[in-house]
Amino acid sequence: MLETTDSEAAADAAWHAAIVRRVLAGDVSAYGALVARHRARCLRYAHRMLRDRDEAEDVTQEAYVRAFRSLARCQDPERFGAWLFSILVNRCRSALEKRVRRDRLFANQAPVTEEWVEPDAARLYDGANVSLAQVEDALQRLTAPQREAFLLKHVEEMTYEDMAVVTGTNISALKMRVSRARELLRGHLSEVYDG
Amino acid sequence: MDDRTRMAGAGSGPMPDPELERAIALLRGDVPVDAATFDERVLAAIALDSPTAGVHDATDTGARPTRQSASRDRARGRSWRTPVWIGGALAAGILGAAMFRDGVRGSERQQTRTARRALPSGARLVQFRIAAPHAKRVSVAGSFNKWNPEATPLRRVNDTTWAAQVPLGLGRYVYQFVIDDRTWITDPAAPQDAGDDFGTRNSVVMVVARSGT
Repeated sequence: MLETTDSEAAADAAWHAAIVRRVLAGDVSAYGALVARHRARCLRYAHRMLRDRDEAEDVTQEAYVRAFRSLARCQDPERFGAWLFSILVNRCRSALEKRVRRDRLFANQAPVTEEWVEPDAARLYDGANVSLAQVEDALQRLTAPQREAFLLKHVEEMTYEDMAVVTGTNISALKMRVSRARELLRGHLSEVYDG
Repeated sequence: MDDRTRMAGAGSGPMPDPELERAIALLRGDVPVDAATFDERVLAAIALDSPTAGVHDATDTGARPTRQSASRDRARGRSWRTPVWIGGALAAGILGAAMFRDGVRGSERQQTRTARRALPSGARLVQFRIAAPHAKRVSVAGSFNKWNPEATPLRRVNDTTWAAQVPLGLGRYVYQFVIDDRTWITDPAAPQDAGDDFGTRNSVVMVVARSGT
């Protein structure tokens, strides 16, 4: 994310406030501008959290719909983006909780009776070119709260104050999660580099 | 307001970490999406909520959600049913073959009005599942995705198991799992075909119509 000047931030806030006003006044089509404005960022966060493209799109759509439904309750239309993101964070949490319950159901119904034996293939990793997939693999090995905090801090570049609002978690807990996430990710990525 | 610089760990003062920085840079990339379709779906779902649904000239693309499309979108929903085993895996009862979840068009069971991606008519949602505890990446490639190992990644659902759900129309499909982008294996719990001209055998999944329930 590019650094923003104060004037750019003010213009951005004014834009959001104006669009939200239009939507609340009945111009539903104006919501399309908000959708387009935040689409890339929301999808990126959802995808990194869920590691499932279809589910990320579903969850992001759901966040937009919920934000629309409760738009009148957005107390600070200038910060619509942060408000939308807090909805998205909660939708992702719900999706992960449902996934745990659903997978537990499948596991109970059909236990694995045979383990696939890994073929004896050399792991030839080029340490200088770790791939996005390898990074995403490492990210998925974090707990959901660690992954959430890491993504909000380092990928979405939120301040800890904003993260506290978006996640409903206090700042010191968030800092601990980010720190632990960095430590674990560093370890996982080192496994990749060490081959 | 805290600073907005891009340094990893800004504000908490950790040591610079080139490997982590590279990883963060990768994670900051956009994920691919059909933007127009995505936006349309969101606005179509919102149109269902709007009291004047079907009247507005809603989207930048010029699409007009009509009452017909709104009701069709409302009907798009999924419901979980008891998975139904098919093919050889039914007899074997071993995990590693297809499991199904129906996309029920017209079902009112799903109350959300989120515009979801509908299953094609007659399609069933097939779950491919395999135990590969040491794999870093698993995908499934077959006749349904042009044997593209990048088209259908599985995700890790627990310490040992990977899974993916794929909507497939009725018919017979052959496939293999791809482990860590390099190793192709048949499904240990699914029937195999007779082999191609090169003697390569593939796993087989048959998608059949649901029996009346």
